[in-house]
Amino acid sequence: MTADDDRMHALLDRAVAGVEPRHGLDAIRRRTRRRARTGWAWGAGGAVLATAATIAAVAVGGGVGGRPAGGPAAAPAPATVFFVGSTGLGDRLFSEVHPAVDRAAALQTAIDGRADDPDYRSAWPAGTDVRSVTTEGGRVVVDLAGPLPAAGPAPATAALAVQQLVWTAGGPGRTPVVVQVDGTRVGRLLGVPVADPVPAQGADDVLAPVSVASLTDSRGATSGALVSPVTVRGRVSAFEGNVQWELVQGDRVVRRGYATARECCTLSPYTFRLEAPAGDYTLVVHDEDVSDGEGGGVSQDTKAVSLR
Amino acid sequence: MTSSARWDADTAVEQLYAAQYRRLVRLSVLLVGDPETAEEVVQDSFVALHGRWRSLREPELGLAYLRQTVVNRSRSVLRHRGVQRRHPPAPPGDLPGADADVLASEHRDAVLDALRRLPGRQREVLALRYYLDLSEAQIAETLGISRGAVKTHASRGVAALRTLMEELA
Repeated sequence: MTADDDRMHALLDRAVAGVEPRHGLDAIRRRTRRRARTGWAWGAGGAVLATAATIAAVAVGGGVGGRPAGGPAAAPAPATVFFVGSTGLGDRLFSEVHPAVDRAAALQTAIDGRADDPDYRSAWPAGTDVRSVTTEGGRVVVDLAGPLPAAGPAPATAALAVQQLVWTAGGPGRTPVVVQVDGTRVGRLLGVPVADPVPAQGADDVLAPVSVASLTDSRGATSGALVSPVTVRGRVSAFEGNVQWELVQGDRVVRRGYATARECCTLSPYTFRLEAPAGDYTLVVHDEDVSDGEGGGVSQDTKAVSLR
Repeated sequence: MTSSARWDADTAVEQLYAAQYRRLVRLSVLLVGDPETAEEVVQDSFVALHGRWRSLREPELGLAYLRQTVVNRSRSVLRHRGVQRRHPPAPPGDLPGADADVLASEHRDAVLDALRRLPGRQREVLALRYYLDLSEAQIAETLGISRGAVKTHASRGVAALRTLMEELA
């Protein structure tokens, strides 16, 4: 220890030696109790980790609207498909990039909830069939097969189901969608007004505040066993734009860190590098809950990761 | 910090509060400059710890998480202030529990003022190194920067505070 070190110690110690915080434990307990009641993403603990998805077929440059732009609309291209998942803000849309299929098949995948990530699902009632997805005069027309299932979901779920459809079928241009059933325009879909072309709701209002879009390893591979280091990309909308992440194996946190998105408080890309010994892990990416326990709590996205 | 094998989240908060609360508030005072904000930052961090305890489980990991959260949230507060008002925050008022010792109060104000004028990373490294006595490796992990960067920030920070240090310490 040098003389400088000693003097710096003394300087800082003396500067705060007079600070005696007021009692804070009761205030903390009040807030943790409230949080326990409102439900907590981590409360699912093992269950969340056990069901994490294996990353598959995630396109490079993925993320919101990650489908490559350009080209004729009919040409099959990797499709960005939107599913529903739980977040601290309630149910929101998460995206996955699925291999080249036509747009009707992509929409059917969304409606059926055939996501790679088992934490994702569909807001649609089972048994809804897509007849076609076409583009006419700058609008996307979705034709569903009737009759639609009689038992519709609750209004909030129905609205999200319609946005699942609009975000998936509308493509990266977020084109408004005209809805038909058996070739005829309808006024309502699952109780949601659709007489006019339905616009995509804003990303900040309907998409998950934290999501993982892709993992790309040192060789450029995006699925299967990855070679460390792996670049993780996703989007976050969080206070100060911070996301935290943990790489978990069983009960053990093997690595942790945080990343800062380019912009705060709106959905914005983040990226970080993951390096760890070979093994099977779960990557948990989450925001910090800044709602003081009054909101829903933490939002997260989890992915299974195999490193070799 | 022993016999902690099966702390639940409530116990972890209580134990770490008893052992670390004052020290973490003081750390945050060095970073944000005033004790009221520091108390808020540290309470927020304990609430966050409670939610994260299932993934931490070990007191050492819990403490590391608290340190990192306190530093991050202190930084967020400063950024937020920077957005709200482009001038520096008002000088700290009376600290709770501070006695009327004018010299101590002058010393405190001078140090906090000098810290406030440092770049954020230097301030953080100095506080972790010289107040919490963390190793370079621990500081690097807490801040997510390299050990080399820790060295650089530390030596620049010490150089910036040298005059003050020689006057006061």
